[in-house]
Amino acid sequence: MDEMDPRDRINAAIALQPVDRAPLIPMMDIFSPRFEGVKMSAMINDLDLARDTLIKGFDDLGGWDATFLAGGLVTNIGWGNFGMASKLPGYQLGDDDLWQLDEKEIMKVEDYDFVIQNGWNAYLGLAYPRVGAPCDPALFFPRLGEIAAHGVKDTLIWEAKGVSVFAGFGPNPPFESVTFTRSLKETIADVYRRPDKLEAALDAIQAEQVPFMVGGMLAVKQATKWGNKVAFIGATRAPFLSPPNFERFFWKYLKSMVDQILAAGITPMLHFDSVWDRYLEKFLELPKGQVLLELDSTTNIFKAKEILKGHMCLMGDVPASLLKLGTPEQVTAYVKKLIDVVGEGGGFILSTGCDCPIDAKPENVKAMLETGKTYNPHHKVF
Amino acid sequence: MSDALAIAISDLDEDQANKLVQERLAAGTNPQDILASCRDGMELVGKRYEAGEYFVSELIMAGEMFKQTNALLAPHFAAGGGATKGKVVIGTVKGDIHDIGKDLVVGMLKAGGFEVIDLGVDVPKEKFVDMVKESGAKVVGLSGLLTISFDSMKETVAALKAAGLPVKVMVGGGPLTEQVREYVGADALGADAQVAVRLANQWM
Repeated sequence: MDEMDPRDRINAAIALQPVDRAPLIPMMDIFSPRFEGVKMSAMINDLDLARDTLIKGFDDLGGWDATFLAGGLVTNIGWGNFGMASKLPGYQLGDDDLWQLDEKEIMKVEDYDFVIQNGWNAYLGLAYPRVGAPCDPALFFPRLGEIAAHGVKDTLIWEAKGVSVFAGFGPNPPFESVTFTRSLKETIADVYRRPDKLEAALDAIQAEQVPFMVGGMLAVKQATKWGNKVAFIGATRAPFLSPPNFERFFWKYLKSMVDQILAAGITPMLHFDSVWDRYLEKFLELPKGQVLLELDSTTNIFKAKEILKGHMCLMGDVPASLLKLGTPEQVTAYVKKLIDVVGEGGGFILSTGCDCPIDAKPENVKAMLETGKTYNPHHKVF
Repeated sequence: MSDALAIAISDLDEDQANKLVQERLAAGTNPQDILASCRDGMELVGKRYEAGEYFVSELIMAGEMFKQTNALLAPHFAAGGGATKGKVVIGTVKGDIHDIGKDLVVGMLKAGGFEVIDLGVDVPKEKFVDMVKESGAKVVGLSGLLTISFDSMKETVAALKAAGLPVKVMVGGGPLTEQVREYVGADALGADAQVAVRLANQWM
């Protein structure tokens, strides 16, 4: 098979069609700054520097099929933190520390009625002052506008280099949004104490946020050549729910969200961290060959392949612990196993399991990239 | 099981569990016996989790309920609260502030009859050493979600060893693997809260 253009390669993988090799799209937004000697606090405060640092990391490490994101995820999380308290480098943390989310009950029980009546964006306006510095609304809202403008600007700068930006931010499943700002513990308690109220709030969030976020993505998509063809949808907490609650408070919203995103001509990418093993069969309910499932190495991706083979493109999952503690030989062996087993028959994108860790060994990251680009046992198959 | 309080807890019936604790206290039942009923209920929750009937959300809710019933019982216990199986010092290590996994383990250990000294999050190694010395705990639990926590865990284990403390150390958290346990030098890796309880039982 002839060598494919990176965009054709990615599209073919998602559509479960033949590829010359598995596309390679690692998530480098916290590794590249450390690798390039750029402080985490600078990544938070300077959006141009954040993008340029990712570009430099891409070039210095030899490049891959697409940049996962246009700018730093850390930047977006830092300022668009879902009404969740966070600890940020240069603010509550040292200049080069890793940002962290700080699980607190920002949303109170009485806020459910406010959300149901006024929607999620209005609620976030209430939440940010409660979250406290550095999320002071005086700083936050102008920065939100700046982040939105950077979506187009950063994508065009990557495209001028001939590199496409893989994903833009899609909507959050509403259950996940509530857990961020209300805390997981309180949200789980609400599942038992006030399920109808929780469900009504989730309905309100979904009705507002899906068109809102899809509209934002379409604006970038239309203003760029290859940008925002894939919507990043993150979830971590839903698989903690038992089946009836999983269905009622998470899955029905996800299915509807996936349909609406597909209708807008965008590919949903389910960036699902934590352990989904018991719910893997559910993904057979999603449209075939149109949705991506990205796993972080805590879900068994080899089991996922057995179940979802021929139905859904899988993405992942070089483990964070291996990139930090392993040897280049161990990383190479794992990447080969992924390509051999999960890549078998197509429908696979090689990536890090969630973020490439800030303290990964550079020689391990290089082994992952090199093996991903050169080891392709399947090109003769097709 | 025929104990209505244990059944209420195991079925996650919060109102019924609180009501039964209050009724039994009012009727003059020994608070230790009421606590034992609550623990029986929690044990059943753990068994249902291991059998795949319950998920993490049920462990979280049961932990919340057990905390409430304990709060109702607390004023009725003499200082010290009676005998426990032993002491466990636990915390999320320095540089990491994630506490969901740690809190789950704390809840299940308490329900399992252990006295748990929870040091919270972002805990420096010195604090673990000091608390083990002060309490005489035999077991230490270290939690972390980020890769940066691996180094803090390693330093904490080394500090406990350097202080000559005869403790067993278990580690847990999302990205932890056997490779991490080995790097850190811990005695065991706890894949979930039930494993943590089993380890603590073995080590006491």
